[in-house]
Amino acid sequence: MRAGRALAAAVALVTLAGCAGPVNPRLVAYGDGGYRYANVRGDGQEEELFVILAFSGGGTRAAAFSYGLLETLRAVTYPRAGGPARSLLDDVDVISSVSGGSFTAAHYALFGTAGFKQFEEDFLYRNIQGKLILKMLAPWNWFRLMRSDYSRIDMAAELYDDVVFHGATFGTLLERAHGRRPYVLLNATDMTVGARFEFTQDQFDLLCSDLSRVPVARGVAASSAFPILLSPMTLHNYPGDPADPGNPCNSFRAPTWLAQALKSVDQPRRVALARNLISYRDAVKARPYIHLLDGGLADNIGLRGPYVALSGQDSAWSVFSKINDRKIQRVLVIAANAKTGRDPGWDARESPPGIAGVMGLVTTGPMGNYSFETVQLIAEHFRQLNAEHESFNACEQLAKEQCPAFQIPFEPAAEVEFHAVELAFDKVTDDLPLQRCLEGLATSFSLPRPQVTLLRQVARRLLLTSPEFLAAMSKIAPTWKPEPAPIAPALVHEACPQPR
Amino acid sequence: MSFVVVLFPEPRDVYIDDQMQGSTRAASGRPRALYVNAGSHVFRLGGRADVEPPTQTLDVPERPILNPFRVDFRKI
Repeated sequence: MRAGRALAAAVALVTLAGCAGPVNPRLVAYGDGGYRYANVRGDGQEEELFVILAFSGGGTRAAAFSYGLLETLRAVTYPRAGGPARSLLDDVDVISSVSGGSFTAAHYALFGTAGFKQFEEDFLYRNIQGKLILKMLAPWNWFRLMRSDYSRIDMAAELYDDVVFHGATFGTLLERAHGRRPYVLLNATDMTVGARFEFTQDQFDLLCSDLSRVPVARGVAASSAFPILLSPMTLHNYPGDPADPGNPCNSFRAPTWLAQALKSVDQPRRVALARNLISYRDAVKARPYIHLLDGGLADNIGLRGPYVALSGQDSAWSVFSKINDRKIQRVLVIAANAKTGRDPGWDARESPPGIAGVMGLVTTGPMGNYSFETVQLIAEHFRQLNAEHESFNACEQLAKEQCPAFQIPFEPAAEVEFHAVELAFDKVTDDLPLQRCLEGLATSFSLPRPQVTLLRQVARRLLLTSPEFLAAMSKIAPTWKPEPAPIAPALVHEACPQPR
Repeated sequence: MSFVVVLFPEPRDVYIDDQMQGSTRAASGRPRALYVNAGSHVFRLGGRADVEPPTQTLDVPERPILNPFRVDFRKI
């Protein structure tokens, strides 16, 4: 009897442990503070070169591949007019990431290059998956998992907080940025609207919630909440209350760009984006909770947010506006896309794929849908800008030849050079066995050490041999020359033991 | 995508949807075209409050660079 009571008390204690209130607290008051582009990079302080990195999903495979990109950018140094040599990594303004890539992005934003070694030990070369499974199997955690406000993703977030991000919140992220670190967009997917949900204060304003008190690990966990294996992450969406004048959520005002996008009935893309965003406030009574899954479901390359910022005014950090303002003259986008693309061989057999194959497709299929399309959309947008410029210049030239006194009564919009670089395994075309090996790597939070090292080296080789990157560097730093980026055959042999 | 030219007798900062877009005029003194995504936008100028109207909410149509949409402000 006494033992039973003690057990019940212990169960109650464990079950209630961690009941410290909602994951995302309510805002005290609306304002301009918090984790926003202008507070991280210093709005208006941009330099001529604007660099955006995009990190795809793919577990540790993606984290190691994107880490390899960061390491290589750090080593790309070039002389700066009137100043010391600088590293291209210092020029990175924005990193947009999903899923596995979010670990690398968030860690770099928090700890900078000084944290590189720590990241290798804390995450890349660590069996995070094993730790997660052990945590879930621990009997004392079963009772916590019975609670309606606690699930597997909360457990994952606790683990990431403990072993990778060491208690840092988005408030810490903002304090450590000081204009020297990139603005990071950790992207998840809102299950109800099926759209991108980013961990920024601009997005959290729509929930009337204070992001600065949310652990960074929560953003990373939501961004990498792989369907079925991990549960969705639940956030609170706080309503206003006309009967309570002290309720801070009453004073929500949509940003001007959002209110105008809603009115743009002839521009369905603008309206659709705006409707998704405003639904958090407009339908707050029907949606007091928001459920988030892996960011890869909405966009597995993390480029949708940058695309919106690059192509119009409908963004809290519109790059388009900064180009108009002549702050930015060159845009470099580098995507580290760790997608795998091995043919499963279904079409070679008459019998349909089994349940495992169907489940695999259903859970990962949507993640590849937008990757290529977004890169193309951005490139097409800049091609159009350049074509408009060429037609202006051609017209002005023709007019001068025919009538020297004539002048077009206005100047063209700012000229901008655009460079897009996509690092992906299918670009390893000079070593097809290596390409097949890379495309066969598992999506997991634990990879063998040689595979992690190989992924870092492959990122380096792909970047330093990319024709698009070399073309960009010839404009950014004409004297810069790439170093050789060999991959040791012994490493390849160790990482790809099966016949390649 | 579209292009607009914001006209005012003096150089002033242009704001579209409260986001700074640079000056109404280039160094040459000519007005300058600005990129804008087509659809509804709020235009206003920075500086002294001697502008009429103070703000304009306009539906910007798709326009090429050689035929930009005009947004006129008067000095009062």
